[in-house]
Amino acid sequence: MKNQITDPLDKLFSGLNNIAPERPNPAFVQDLEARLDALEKKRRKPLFAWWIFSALGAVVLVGTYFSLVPTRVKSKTKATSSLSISNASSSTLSSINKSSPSSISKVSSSIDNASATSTSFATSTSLSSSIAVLSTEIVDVPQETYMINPILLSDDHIKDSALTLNRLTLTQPMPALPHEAMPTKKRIQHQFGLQFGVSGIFSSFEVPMSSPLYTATELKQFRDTREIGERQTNSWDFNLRYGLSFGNWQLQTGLHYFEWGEQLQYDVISVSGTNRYRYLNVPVLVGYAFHLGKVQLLPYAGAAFGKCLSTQGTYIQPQVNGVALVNAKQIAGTFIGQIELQYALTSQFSVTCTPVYRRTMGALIDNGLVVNRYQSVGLLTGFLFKF
Amino acid sequence: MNSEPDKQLLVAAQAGERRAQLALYELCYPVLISAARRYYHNTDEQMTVVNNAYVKVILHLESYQTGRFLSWVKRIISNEIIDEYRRNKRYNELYRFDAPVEERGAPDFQTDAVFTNEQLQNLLLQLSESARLVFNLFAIEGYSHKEIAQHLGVTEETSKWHTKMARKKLRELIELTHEKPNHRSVG
Repeated sequence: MKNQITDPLDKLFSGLNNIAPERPNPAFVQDLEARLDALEKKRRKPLFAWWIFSALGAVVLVGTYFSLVPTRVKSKTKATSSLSISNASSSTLSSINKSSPSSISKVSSSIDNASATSTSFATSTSLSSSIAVLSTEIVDVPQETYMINPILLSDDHIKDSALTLNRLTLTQPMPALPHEAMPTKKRIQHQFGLQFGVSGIFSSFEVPMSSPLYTATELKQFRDTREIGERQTNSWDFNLRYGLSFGNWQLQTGLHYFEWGEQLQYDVISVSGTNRYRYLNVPVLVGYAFHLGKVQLLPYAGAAFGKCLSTQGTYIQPQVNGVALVNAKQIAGTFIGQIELQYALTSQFSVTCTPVYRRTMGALIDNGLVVNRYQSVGLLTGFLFKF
Repeated sequence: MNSEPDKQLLVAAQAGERRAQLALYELCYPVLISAARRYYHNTDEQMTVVNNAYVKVILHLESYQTGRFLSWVKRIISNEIIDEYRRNKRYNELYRFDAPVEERGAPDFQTDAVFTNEQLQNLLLQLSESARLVFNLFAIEGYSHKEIAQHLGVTEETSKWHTKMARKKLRELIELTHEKPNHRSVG
């Protein structure tokens, strides 16, 4: 606006620039209030979405916790009973022999806990087998010690097993039952692994269609300059992963490091470089395993939330006469989809190859003029240890 | 009119406090409506452009840092009007000019008539839409022909032509009103 007005007619009309105070028209205020209401609703919407997402996350975590806790108790009691029994049969045998109603009652109570907490697991067969092993080795334990079991275990089968135990000759071990006879339960497996890889980043390079500060022409020029001056770059990815498998279902979390950004080379102002926004993320991925012999195919989907380790980027200014520093979001969400191929080298050790697709939740950069959403496609390779 | 809003009011309006937003609207309204009146006859059109611009003011308050707030608001409504004009694709009309215009009596145009703002606005509204837009941008808002050409996507010559057309028409209108003695009033 550097126009020097010289024409007398122009001067006459330039007086219209002087503003007189005026109260707003009530109809205008009413219309504005409706617009502001709509704006407020729009502002609340993302907040609401975050609440929903957080609530879902909490449900998943709580559900996972409760599904794991009873299982842990089961496996713990199972371990305790077998451990007690084996201890009794070997190294602590002497101490039991020495005296030990208390040790024996511990063993019995462990067995009792096992049967109480996991009804399907602690059956008469396994119990009798365990006790039989014990009875074969502890020769000088008083007979009444064994009588604790029928008192505490109300199940008829267990009583029978205790009676059977009494009838067993102390020198005759119980024959081992085939594994198939053991009751089955859903197996939970822990996984730990590392993955490395590289991915190509694609930016949306967006410029808003309208802005109060710039006209459509200026914005078009800005958009054109960005389209010419910016292009995709790559990211080095590193995943430290921990997973749980519930049968074929997989839950994966851990720490994911990856980057967003773009290369820039604005010839009009002789500026070039690469913007890199580095994020350390905590992912939550859900997958399903398809078994194909030694190979497993596992499609995963989920999201990751991360903290930005470096946020600052450089972009050309809309006037195309310099650069502006722009900050990426400190905390950002990313949608992740991946198809993992696992090849089992041993029953516990696998190597993985994973094509991965990521997409930022909303715009990672948004200062009103530079709006960048990112997507990336990459390949990760690594290994996985299952226990 | 020089009343600039204090920072607290701006912060509260940006935070979404309705009372602050309405107070700020009251402050911006004269700037917004005076611009809208120079471009639009219709109250509904004025309301649309005024409130569109004000919502943009609210949405972009964080990008306002220094300088005169009302000048910033003035720029926002100017851009809104230009964009509205382009959105409605009326700018094709800008290309429709034929014969060169002779500026009768320019630049020594003189009149002893005194006009109120309302009368001047009414004169402006009698111009064709494209001439009104270009004349407003050039003579009242102070854009150069180069800037007008960039914003409207036309050549500088086109901008100049429309300015000349507007002046010619306005002179004719002023001469007409000047003949009527009751139009001589103080603004």
